Amino acid sequence: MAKQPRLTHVTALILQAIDAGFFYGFSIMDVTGLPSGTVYPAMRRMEEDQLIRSRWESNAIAEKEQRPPRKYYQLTINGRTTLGTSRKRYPLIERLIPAAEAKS
Amino acid sequence: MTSSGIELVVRKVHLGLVWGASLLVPASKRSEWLEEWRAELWYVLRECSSKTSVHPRPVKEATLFCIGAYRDAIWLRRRSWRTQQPLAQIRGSAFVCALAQVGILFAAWEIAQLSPRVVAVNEMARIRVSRPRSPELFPTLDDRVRHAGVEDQVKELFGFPRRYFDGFSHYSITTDAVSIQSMPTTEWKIAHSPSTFFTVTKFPVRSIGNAQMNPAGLPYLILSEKTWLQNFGGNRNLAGTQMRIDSVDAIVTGVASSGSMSLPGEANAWLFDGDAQSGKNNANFVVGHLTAIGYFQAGPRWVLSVIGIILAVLLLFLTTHSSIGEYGKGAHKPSLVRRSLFWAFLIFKIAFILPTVYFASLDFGCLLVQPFSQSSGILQGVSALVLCLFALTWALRDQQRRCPVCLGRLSHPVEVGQLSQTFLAWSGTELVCQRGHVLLHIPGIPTSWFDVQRWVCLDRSWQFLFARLGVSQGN
Repeated sequence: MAKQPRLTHVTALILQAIDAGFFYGFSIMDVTGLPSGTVYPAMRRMEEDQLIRSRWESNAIAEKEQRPPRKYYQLTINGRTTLGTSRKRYPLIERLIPAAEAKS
Repeated sequence: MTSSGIELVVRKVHLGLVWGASLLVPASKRSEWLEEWRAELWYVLRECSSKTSVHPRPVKEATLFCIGAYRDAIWLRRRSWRTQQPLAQIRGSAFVCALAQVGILFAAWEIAQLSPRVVAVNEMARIRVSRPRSPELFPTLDDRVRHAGVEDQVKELFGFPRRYFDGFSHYSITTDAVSIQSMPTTEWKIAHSPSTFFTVTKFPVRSIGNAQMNPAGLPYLILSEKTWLQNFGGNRNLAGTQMRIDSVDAIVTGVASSGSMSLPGEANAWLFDGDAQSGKNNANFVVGHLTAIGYFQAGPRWVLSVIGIILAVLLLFLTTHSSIGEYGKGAHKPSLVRRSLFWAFLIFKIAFILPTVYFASLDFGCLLVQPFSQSSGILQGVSALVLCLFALTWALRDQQRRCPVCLGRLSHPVEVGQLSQTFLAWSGTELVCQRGHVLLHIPGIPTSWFDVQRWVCLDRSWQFLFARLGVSQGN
């Protein structure tokens, strides 16, 4: 039997934030208002549960822009399914974190 | 300090915080973790020091961000502990338990071997003085004469336990001119010592005539056997003869037996004139007399520990009512061999506990207080009692939490039911063998139908749950 990920409020917020276009840790912290000590462990747990996956930005791009490379997160298929469930459970979540483009 | 200098310091402090947190992260994940947090910190600090932003963030925010790194690191550390399932199994295995016990026993024994105080106690325990102190002048096997150098070794003599230490005396050897009426003046090596030398060393003297003939109260002179034979041809009537040693007159009273010549510094004669002066040109010696008497007549030292151990066993027997465990009526039980091994393991633990307690109590009794004092004996007995109580209780409790099939520690305790909410339903704690052999039910409140802990052997239908751990059903 597949392990069911815990669908907490934090999980729902992070999934929504990533889906809204906030792809790295600090921006997710910023938009959700959660502290770093909550966001990063939660993202690790979600990665273990295969709700999200991470990848390092290429060094070339980062060097070109004279900044360190970032670790980007994106939703997996499981993550999208869980996000759908969480939106049903927390209907206001979409309004709390609108898409990045929409916000700007 | 310029603003760029402050920024540099702030950056270094925050990097230090993140680096500190990285030490908590398991080594295999540390470098990537540190890289991610450093990168993120760079962006946070950029936001804090942004001059273009209308509302630059306070530095406090960056500090809070770094403190969050510790939470993340601790989470990772805990996660790695949980995922190290095989390591947990190894830790709880009977082999590791046995190894730890052997190690503790070895440590207690090694301390006893390395400590001079404990060694001295053990040596004396082997002597076993069973008769009163010998009235003879010299040597019974139980006596120890300690030779030493001069002043700096007096401290060593005083350091010995008083029950062995009778006292000390000293002598110095000088080269003196000796003249006797009928013989030419010669030079002898004379050992000058005080009269207490007799009482301390019980100097063995052979009588050569009437030794009481000393009406003038002159200092006594005792010749060495060699000098007596060479210079006086073994004259048996020499006692009472007057000699002049430098400017002092002395009277010959006897001959020192050859055994006494084992004292350092060869002397032709011993002059008991109380003029044993230490000087740079003299050979100076301190002699202490140590006798093994008294204390060990009551019995060897291990008796104290054995009394403590027996008391502990009695106390435990009288106060402990818990059973090691039982199987339900008609329930499946492990094989007889497995059950025998289970009990053999308990016997093994107890067998190792007893010598460990003995050596540990001996260490306590000898290292914390003076080894031959009364408090030393009391401390040894009490520590044996306390250690034995503690160790036997541990052995029983450990056995209660071991799987009767694989001897591994049971884990994952689960509270079943709540005492305040159940009336007739069973409530208590349930543990499981990590390899899936048994469940252990421990009742919260003993009842007439379930008063002691009970093992429930799991059959093969449970095996799929533990398949990932490579379970083999051994029952």
